[in-house]
This record gives sequence, C-alpha cells and structure tokens, in this order.
Amino acid sequence: MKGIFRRSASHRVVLAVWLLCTASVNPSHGAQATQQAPPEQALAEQTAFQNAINGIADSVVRIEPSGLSVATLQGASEAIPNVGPSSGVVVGSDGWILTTEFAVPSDIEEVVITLPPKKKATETKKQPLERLVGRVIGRDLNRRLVLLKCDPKEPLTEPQFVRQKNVHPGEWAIAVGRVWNLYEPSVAIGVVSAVGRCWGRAIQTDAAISPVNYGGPLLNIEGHVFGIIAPLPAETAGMSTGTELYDSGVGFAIPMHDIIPLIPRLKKGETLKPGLLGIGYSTTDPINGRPVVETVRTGSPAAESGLQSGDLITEINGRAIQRIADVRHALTPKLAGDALEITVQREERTAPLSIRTVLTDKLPPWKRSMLGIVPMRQPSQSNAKSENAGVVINWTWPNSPAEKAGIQPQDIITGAAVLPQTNEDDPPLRSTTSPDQLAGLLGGLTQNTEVVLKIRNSETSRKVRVTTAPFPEKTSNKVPAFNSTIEAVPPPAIVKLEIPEVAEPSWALVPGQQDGPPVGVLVFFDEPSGTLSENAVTIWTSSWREAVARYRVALVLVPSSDSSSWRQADLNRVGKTIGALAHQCKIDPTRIAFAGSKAGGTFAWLGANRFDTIARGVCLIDADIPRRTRIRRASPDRFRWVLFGTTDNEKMNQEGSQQYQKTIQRLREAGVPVSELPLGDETEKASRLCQWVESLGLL
Amino acid sequence: MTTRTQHATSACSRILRLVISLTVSGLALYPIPVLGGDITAVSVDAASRVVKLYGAGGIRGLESYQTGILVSSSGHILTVLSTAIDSEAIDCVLDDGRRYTASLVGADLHRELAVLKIEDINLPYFKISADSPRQAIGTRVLALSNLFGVAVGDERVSIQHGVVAAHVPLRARRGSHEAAYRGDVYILDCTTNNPGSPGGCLINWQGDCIGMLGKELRSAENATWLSYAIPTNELALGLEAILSERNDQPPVNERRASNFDIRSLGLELVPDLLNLTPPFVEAIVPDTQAAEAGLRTDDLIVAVGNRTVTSQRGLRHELSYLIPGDPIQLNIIRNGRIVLIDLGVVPSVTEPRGKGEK
Repeated sequence: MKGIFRRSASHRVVLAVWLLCTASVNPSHGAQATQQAPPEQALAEQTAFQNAINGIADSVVRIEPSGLSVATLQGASEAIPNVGPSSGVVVGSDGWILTTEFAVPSDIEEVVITLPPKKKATETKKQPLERLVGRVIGRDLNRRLVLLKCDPKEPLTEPQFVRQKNVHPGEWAIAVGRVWNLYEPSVAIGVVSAVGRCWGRAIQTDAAISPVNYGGPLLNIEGHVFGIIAPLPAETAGMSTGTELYDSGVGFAIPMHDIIPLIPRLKKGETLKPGLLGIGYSTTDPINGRPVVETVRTGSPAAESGLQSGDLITEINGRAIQRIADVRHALTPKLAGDALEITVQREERTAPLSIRTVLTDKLPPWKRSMLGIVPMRQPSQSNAKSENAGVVINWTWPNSPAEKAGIQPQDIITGAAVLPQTNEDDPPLRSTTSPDQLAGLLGGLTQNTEVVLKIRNSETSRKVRVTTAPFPEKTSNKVPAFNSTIEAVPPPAIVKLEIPEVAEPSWALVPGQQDGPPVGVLVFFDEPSGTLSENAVTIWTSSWREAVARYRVALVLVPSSDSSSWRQADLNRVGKTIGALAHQCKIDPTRIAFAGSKAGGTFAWLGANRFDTIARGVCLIDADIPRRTRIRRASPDRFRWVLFGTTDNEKMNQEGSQQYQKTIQRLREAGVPVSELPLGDETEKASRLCQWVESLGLL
Repeated sequence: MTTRTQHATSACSRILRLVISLTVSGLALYPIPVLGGDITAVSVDAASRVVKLYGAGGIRGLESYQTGILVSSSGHILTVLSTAIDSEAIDCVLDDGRRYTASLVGADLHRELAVLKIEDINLPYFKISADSPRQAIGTRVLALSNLFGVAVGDERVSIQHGVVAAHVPLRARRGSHEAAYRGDVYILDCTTNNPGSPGGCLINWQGDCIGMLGKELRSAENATWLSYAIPTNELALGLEAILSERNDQPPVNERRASNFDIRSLGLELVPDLLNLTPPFVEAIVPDTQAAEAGLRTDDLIVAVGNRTVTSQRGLRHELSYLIPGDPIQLNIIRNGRIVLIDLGVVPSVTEPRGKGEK
C-alpha cells in the first residue's frame, strides 16, 4: 500500500516547480475558503428544486399500517412483514390519497395517514400532527396503486398534475417522499431516464428511488406531478417485488396521464385488474419472436372473438406490431374490460382481418387435454425444415380418442382445425408441417373440443373428427420400442461431456446407433456424491443400457460440486451439459426430462423450474418438491408432466407418502399433469422412465 | 556530435514541455471555462482542504483508509472515529501529494469524531463554525472523499454531486449495533457513504463546508443504506470538546432511555402473546390518569407524540424514552377514527408494575 507514496527524486523536482506555479496563481491557498459564485443556471435550478419541494409539501402525506394491520399481515405471511412507513399523494381535497401496494399490501384495509404540518416546519416542531384513518377504496393491480380515503377536518391541498402525455427523457425528475421526517418532505433529484418502461406502464428515472419515497410524487422542474413513484418489477431474472432495484440508478413511477382517467373508477371502489386475452406463442423470445398466435385458450376472449392458431398479429388498436414484445407493450397497460382491436393476417393471400374483443380479468380454468397421438421424433426446430408436409404418427395412446378414431402409426397429419361450437361445417384447415405447429393448435384446448384432422397414409387421404380428452393420469406401459432386439444395433456408449469453464465433466450414456431418429434426454440427479469417475458411471448405468438402446434416450449424469449436497451452482452447468450433448447426438427437444432420487429428486424439480422452457417432464423418485414452493398454474405454452416414482425395495414411509400425496393434489388443482409410478428394480425403473420420456411427445 | 546535440535539445525541450504543461494544468485549476463553471473551482479549492488518511484495519471488512478535513492552518484534521485511525502512525496525504504522519489528538465518543494533527504551517483549511446555517432540503451539494481508495498517490479525492434529501436525527445500525451518534444529519440523495468516504467533506455550491460524511450504516427504520453527513454546527461542538479536552455532553437530539411504564397511569394492554401484538387497551383502572383522559377498552394506540407505533414492543420502546415532565399524547383508533388522547405528563416517580419490562 505504501509503495504508492514512493516517488522518484526527479518527480520531486517537477512537483516543486508545479507547487511554485500553483502558489503564484492562487494567493488564497492556505487561507479560509474563498466565496465563489456558482453559475447562475445552477443556482436557478437549485431554486427551482426548492420551489418544487415547497410547492408539493402540503400534498405529500405519510402512510403507515396500524398495529392491527401489521398483526393481520403477520398472520397471513408468517414472516414479519414490511412495517416501515411510506408516502402518498393527495388526489382529491376531500381526503383522497393515492399510494402504492408497498404501503398497503393486499391483506390490509386500514392504514394511518399523517398529514403535513399546517404551518411551516420550524414554527411547529412540537405541535402534534393530524393523523387520520385511511380506508382502502380502490386498487389497480396492474400498476400496483391503491386509492385511500380519509376524512380530514379541513380540505387537503391537491397538487398540479401533468395530465397530458408530456414527459420526456432527459428532463428533470424530482422525487419527493415523507418518510425521513414528518415535518418536511425529503427529496431526490435526477432526470427522466425513459418513458414507456415496464411494458408501457412506467416512467424510469435515475433519481434515488427506494422505500423512502415509494408512493410519493415525481415532479418536473415546474413542480407539477407527472408520476407516482412505485416499486414495479423490472422483469429481470429474480426480481418480483420491485424493491430490488433501489440504489441502482433505476426507479419507476406510474405516469399521471395514465392514472387520472382511472381515478373515478377507483373512487367507485373498483379493483382494476390486468386485462387478459388468452393467447400463447411458439417462442419465448419476445424480441425476435414473430407475433404468431400459437395457442388459443378455450373460452378466452381470444377464442370467443375468433382468433386462431397461426394468425399473425399485425396491429393492435392502430399500433403496428412486429414482434411479440410489441404485443406485450400494447397489452400490458390494458385492464380487464378494455376493448381491443386486433388486426391479423390469417392466410397469406387474403386481406387482413380485424377482430374486436374485450379483455377479461380471469381466463377459464385450463387443464391440458390430448387427442392421443404421439408424433415421430423430430430434431430441434432449426433443422426441421423438412420436405414432408405433415406430422408423422409414431404411435397412439391406448384407449385415446385418436386410437378410437382409427388413427394408425405412420399416418401423416397434413392439416388441422378447431371446430367452432356453433358451426357444423368444417372450418378451413391450417396445414400442419411440424409437431410444434400441431402442438400449438391443440395447446390451448380444453377437453371435449372437437378437432378436424386431415390424415394421409400410403393409400388414402381423409378427414376425421376427434374430440379432446383429459390428459392421462397414468403413464403407459405400451410404449413401442425403436429396436425390439437390441443385439441388432451398436451398444450404448458412455460419453464424457466437458464444458470449458467447468472443471468436473458430466457423463452420458447415449444410444450406439448414430444415424437413428433423434434421442430423448433424461438428466438424472442421484443422491449427491461429488466427482463421477468413468468407472463409477459405467457401473451406475449398467442397468440402463437396455432401456437406453430400446427407447433411444440419452441418460445424462451431472456431478454435484459438493459430495454431500446439491448446490444451486450445480444447476448452472445443466443447461451447458445439454448443449454439449447436442453436439454429440441429435436431440428431440420435446422429449427432455429431469429426474432424481431423494435429495436429487427435489433438485430435479428445481432444475426443471430453472430450465422451464427445456424440461418437459420432471420425475421425483422417493422425493417431494421443496416445502413452501409456489406451484405455477398450468398454461398452454408450457408443457410439464410431473411424475412421482416410488421404488419397491424401499417402502416409502407413511408420512412421506402422505406428504407427496398432498403435493399431487396441489399440482392437479393447478391443472398440471401428474402421475404416480411404481418403479420396481433398477432395470425396470430404467425401462419405465425411458418409456415415459418417449411419452412426453403426447399430443 | 550532431546527433548528441539533437538528443540534448529534444530532452531539454521535453522537460520544458513537461514543466509548461504542468504549469498550464496548475493554471487551469482556476477558473476553468467548462460546464460546471465556477463549481469546478469551488470543488478544486475544497479538495485542497481534504486529506486522505491511511492507517490500521484492512481486515474483516474494516477499511484501513478514510478521509479527513483540515480545520486549522496548523494541521488539525477532523475525521470520523474508526478502526482505520486506531494506529500508531497514520499516513496523511494532501491533494498535492504532500505526505505527513499524523498523530491522534483526541476523540468525541458521542459524535464518533476524532481530531488528528500534522506538523506544518499555512495549510489550507475549512473554518468549522457552530453558527453554520442549516442547509435547506434540495440544496445542491458536492461530496469530496477518498471513496474506495481510488485516489492513490497525489491524486485528488473523488467528487460526487447530489442534493440534501432530508435533515433528520440519525437512527442507524451497523450490523446489529445501534450507531452511537443520534444527533441530526443531512441525508443525501447520492450514494456517498462507501469504504474510504468516512470523514469526507460535504460542501454546497458556494464552497462552504456544510458537513462531514459519516460511516457506512443502514437505516434502523427501513434497512436501506444511508448516505449521510454530520452538519458543520454539530462538528464544531465536537471539535471544541476535543480541543478543550473535556467530555462533551451528548448531542441535543440524543434521547436517553428511562423506565417509564404506561401501566402506571392506569391502563392494561391486551396480553402480549404475538411477535407484534397490536397495542389494544384491555382495561382502564377507574379514577386514574388514563380514565380521566378518556381512554377506553378496545382503543388501539397508533402513535406516541409524533412517533407511530404498530406493536406493544414498539409502544414500550417509544415510551421508554420519556422522562418525568414529558407530555404523553397518544393517537388511538376508536370506531374507525383517530382520536387524540392527552394523558398529561410523565409523573416524577414511576413504579413499574408487573413483569415483562426490562
């Protein structure tokens, strides 16, 4: 450290010269601070800041929960809730206060509002301030705002609002709160960083936004309120409460021009909810993804207004749409009950269609349904520009609608359409060139929906009507094998999967036949044991060799970085491991599952959630999901089949069994397909799991 | 021969150029016609009165360096009392690179301030005055400090800009410990309090020293990291106490705990069974202060004076600061309205009743 002070002799000479120079230039050096006049503009700005603060002071209140509210919150959440104070803005002189969910979480209905002092701060230091009970009247769940009503003795001061859409990046942004000090508001100064953030709902500012000014106003340099400071989530990974961004230079405020038209509705006691349409896309990439509707949920506004799978959205309410992100920008600010005019391109050659719909607050409950067809293996989408125009059937699910309709292996589905409930005529069919397309068309359907399929085989071409049935609760043991005699194909091989930045390699047992159909993938997490040697992998996988060859499933083993427990960090390598496997052999992206035993089973669940878009199935063997895990509702654009496997040789104790039975019930209530499967001995376990991986292609 | 001469000339001109450029940069310290205008001059002038301090520490997250303010022409330096200056020899570096060894003169434990001394004369300094006026909210400020130790060697300390966000008594924690200083501070809207910045100088745009940056602390009220400075008038009191070698009184705003128990006024609260039991009144003893003031069963206490309470624990905490003679004003919720209850003053002798009080 002290080395930095060492200086060469020549440096000293130069320094001496320099000191002489500066001394001669600055005779005041060595004396008391000289009074320098700051630039006029800087002072003018400072005056403007202070005028703005003084002007708003009477309109910013403090909001705190009452003891009763805190106790209620505590009862609801077990943890000690946030009990800190927050701010609010007067939006009606007769006692209307606007604030955010941060101050008034959904469980509480009553808060304590402290009004600003009636006289200027210094005169009234000892004066008690007026406190009032604030009752929750309305909520905007889309923007996390809460409207409170209190009954002041004298009218409150309503500030001046910027009512027009007239906020520009780069202009001053003055953030005000009343948390630090009851007698005078606090302030943070910055600029408007952007508008239309959080999918069109928020102004972004670099003024320091934190719990000390949530609910407070954001002012322009004239002191007019253009936003209410709110903890909105930036929708970056891991951010959900919206409070994670404090001290980061990123803060949000809800623009006043969006709020003002909603205030009359909030005053009437309405709860404003996000508007839902009921469509899904084939891709999760909002930036590059074309806005092609893939799934249309039965009974949703999208289905009822006639939106169809395959429609390309080109315009929403007159605004041009090019990407999925554009759709989200247009839809996210909308509330349930808002009307929407959507323009879509259905067939390439026809004129665009205009569709009118009204958004809803709640989509009808949805559970995955099926026809019972299992397509042939397909490599990942990018390679799938196949010439064969159609989805080739590999097998049909036993006793499924497809089997009953006489659909046979090797049949090719070339077109499909959902039959409108009111219309007896066959609607125009959408051609189906890939299993993905067909999956999208069928994805949003609930059971008992009639679908028309155009089927071609070597001899004929026909149309059949098939009605969707509930997704099976049991796995099938009649899954056809790719190779009935495994002696006819090369034996499975053990492959080392090395990832550049990870020291410990993962291993895979892959089918020996290289030129066969794409392989399914089963990533297996055993009980943690640390580094895996090739020898250990060979022994471990010996009971899997037959199943791997018969059902063409690559078995992937990932080592744990710690020899006694699975760590969050171990998850990081899973995605890369699958990537490394894809370099070794062709993978079918619709048949990737995570499985694990005991601690590894719980870890497999976490892994499947982390790699949400990859993992189509997750199997927990003698294991349960982590306690207090939130279970996401099933949705059409996310396929997830949960399997609870039990090994015979090790009886699950009663308690453990009851535990996961509760989980099964919770998952079923959330609409998630879930099955139980006794696994038998090691060879049988391997066979059943590999069959299940093949079943993940079920439509 | 020719070659050598050329060499000599070019070497000479190089030195000359270096001297000229240094002179120019020295000249350029005053006044610089750039965006900040005279603010540049103000901050440069202030930087000459701010020193970098290097001492002990450097382990377990305790920094071995911080900042100090020259407060006399003879080398008195005011800084924050910390482990960094708990050292035999403290290295002190001025903005022009002059280096001294500083010794500890004394410390003010209430304000967590320390005075160091270097041996020199005619040093630039800030006058720390007890009548330094309070700066209004929204005042533009510059903070000068050795934050993160990025200013090595003879580099100047770093400058940050912001405004005075609030003026409040400090209620802060470092880890689980309450901070010793409980007087008024300026809260700033920029992230000033970082490793190395304690002891840094806060100036307004006129160039007045208006405060000194404190330690890295979290707010005890909302757990956010604090950017704060101790105002100059408070610094003056600490400085005077240290130089006059007397134990100073705690700052005016500091509150001391007493043992006042509200039950001595004749009211019982509901049994405190939960972590955060709401302060509901369970019963009122007839003919007591509480009964006379109009308190009733089922009233929910929401504030003591101007401080909100949301639990019985919080209520006890607030009341524990009251001393005999203090007014007791409660806000209670009754039938959905807030009512102000005046319980008179804290009696001179209080008799804690029952258990549960520490």
